[in-house]
Amino acid sequence: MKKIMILLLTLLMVFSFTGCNRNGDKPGEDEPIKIGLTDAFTGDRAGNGQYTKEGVDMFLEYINGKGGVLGREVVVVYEDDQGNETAAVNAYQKLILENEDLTAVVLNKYSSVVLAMEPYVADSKIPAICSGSNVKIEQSTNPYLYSTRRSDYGSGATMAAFIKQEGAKRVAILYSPDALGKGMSEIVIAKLQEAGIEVVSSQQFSEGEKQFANYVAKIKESNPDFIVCIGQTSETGLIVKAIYDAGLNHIKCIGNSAFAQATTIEQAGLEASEGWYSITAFAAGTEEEPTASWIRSYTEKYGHAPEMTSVTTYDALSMICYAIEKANSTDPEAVNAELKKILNFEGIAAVYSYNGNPMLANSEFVIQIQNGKAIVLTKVIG
Amino acid sequence: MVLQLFITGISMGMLYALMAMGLILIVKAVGVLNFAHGQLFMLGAYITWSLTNQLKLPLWAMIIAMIVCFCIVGLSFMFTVYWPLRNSPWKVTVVISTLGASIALKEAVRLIWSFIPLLSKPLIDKVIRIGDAVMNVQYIFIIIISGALMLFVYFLFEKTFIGKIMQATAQNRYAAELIGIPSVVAIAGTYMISMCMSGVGGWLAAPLFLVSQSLGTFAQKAFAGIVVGGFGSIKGAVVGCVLVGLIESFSILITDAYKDAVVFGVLILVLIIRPTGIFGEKIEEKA
Repeated sequence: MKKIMILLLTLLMVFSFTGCNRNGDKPGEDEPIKIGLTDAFTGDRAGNGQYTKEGVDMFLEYINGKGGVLGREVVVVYEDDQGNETAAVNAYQKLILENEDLTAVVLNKYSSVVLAMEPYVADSKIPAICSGSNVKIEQSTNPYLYSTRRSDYGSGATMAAFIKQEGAKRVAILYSPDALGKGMSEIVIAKLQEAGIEVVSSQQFSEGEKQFANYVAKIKESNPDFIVCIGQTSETGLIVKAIYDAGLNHIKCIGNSAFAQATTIEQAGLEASEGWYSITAFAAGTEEEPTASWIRSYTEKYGHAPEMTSVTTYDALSMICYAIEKANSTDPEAVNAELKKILNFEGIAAVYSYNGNPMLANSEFVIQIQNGKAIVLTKVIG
Repeated sequence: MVLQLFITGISMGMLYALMAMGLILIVKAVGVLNFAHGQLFMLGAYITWSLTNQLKLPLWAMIIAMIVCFCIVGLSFMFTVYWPLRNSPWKVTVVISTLGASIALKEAVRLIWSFIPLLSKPLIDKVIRIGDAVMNVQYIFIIIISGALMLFVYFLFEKTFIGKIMQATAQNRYAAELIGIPSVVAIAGTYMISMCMSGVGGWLAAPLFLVSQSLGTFAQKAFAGIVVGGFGSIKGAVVGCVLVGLIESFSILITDAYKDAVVFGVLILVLIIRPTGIFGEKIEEKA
């Protein structure tokens, strides 16, 4: 009896491993092409996931409307990463284990979450495109990781150059406690100091902060002539409003991409956000095509303007499908090889090229909020 | 700047105290800490947003509708989260149930009202300046309305017969029923009042912090205030919450990033030095 049990268990294990073999079963030619996607669909960052999903739906409608890729329908398989590192690692592993025929994966915009998943991306050998911008993503040597963004190093340098150009002498900085805030503020401070500009106040606000009056009081006390703010869309509206309420709206203010988003302007109000500058990968107020038409279609479809994540996800999926077509295959290795050949790919948010590091975008906008619209002042390339 | 820190500290402290009141009521009624209280606070903000912006009710009608809605929510919460588990041999079962309810409420709100934070207009959209400090007029409403509600709860529990009934039910439901107290009515009344207090808190906080699913996080500070003040004491909760607000606000002078660590560090210190909290002893004597 014991021997039979051992034999049965051994057979079970053999079949289990066979089932886990990625290369064991090839998907049929008429089966849909599967692309995985992890983002926050529950929890405090669920809003980001919803915008992402809207971008995905726009893309799938477009691509499948014109016959799919290689004559096959494209489908996206979702997994909820809750916007936090631990859940993200589990979500990524679940996605890979439950979907053996994934061609590529799209990851979210939170750099710390992407960095937590990065080793698993390398292990699975499936190309993954995120929208994180942290310098550590740029420095990653993982051959399967890409980002639809320019790195914080570039954005920070652009921000510092703009502040210098505006003639600032005393700068106050307020930043979020995540990878974005810490990483980008370090670069901005270093670049400002290089340019001989004094950083009179540098504050990192608490996780989940909602009350910014005290931080702004500290900024006011440092008497700056330029204010730099770095944060996520969950807090940017409150920061802009707090600066306005404190009567500091006569001081020039600049923020990262979240400060250029429609939700920030709506939450802070038109008066409070008027005149703010932002360095952003995606400018909702741009007149440039095809971005302007895309934003109009999106707004008509969903009744609200897109966030950066809607557009970068759309672009990530576009690049993956382009690579599949070029490779004439859904094999992850073949698609990965084609992604490395991406050159001047015209997306909605930017023009993308692979330059030997994960950051595919090499352009950004300096915008200013005027009458509630993000107006492009300059396009920075390189 | 010190004045700004003081104003912010008092204002936030009063907001925490309003949340704490609702929590204390449930503790007094059924002896259980409600971990979904922050989410009920958030739900209050969403309900009042809908009544004002979707149904476009005038203020007086909105207040009446808001109270009716909160009473229904309070009753529903009690009969789904507490009542079926009330006779469980483990008291912690109800606590776990409230934890589950907090997740369910958060996701339900996301499904009903979507994910985009909503704008709620303040009663008076103005900022007043006191020297170098600024104060949103909404905070004055928070202080006045919170103060009035706290007095109401204090008198209800300490000075009225109904309050005594509620306390008797909380201390020993079986004995209370033996002397003819309808415990279900007493507990239902407490849940309704508790939800009304949370809901009003959510309504008042929404114009300052947006109507979003993260509004519930304020409950952590209310919990801290209750423990600092002395668990179960209404006066203690108010004092504790204002203290938490002030500590949180003034901690920016030491650290900007880790002010929550300072608040909870003080909480641990209080528990080490005086485990019963500031007003804890008095409660023990009364019990």
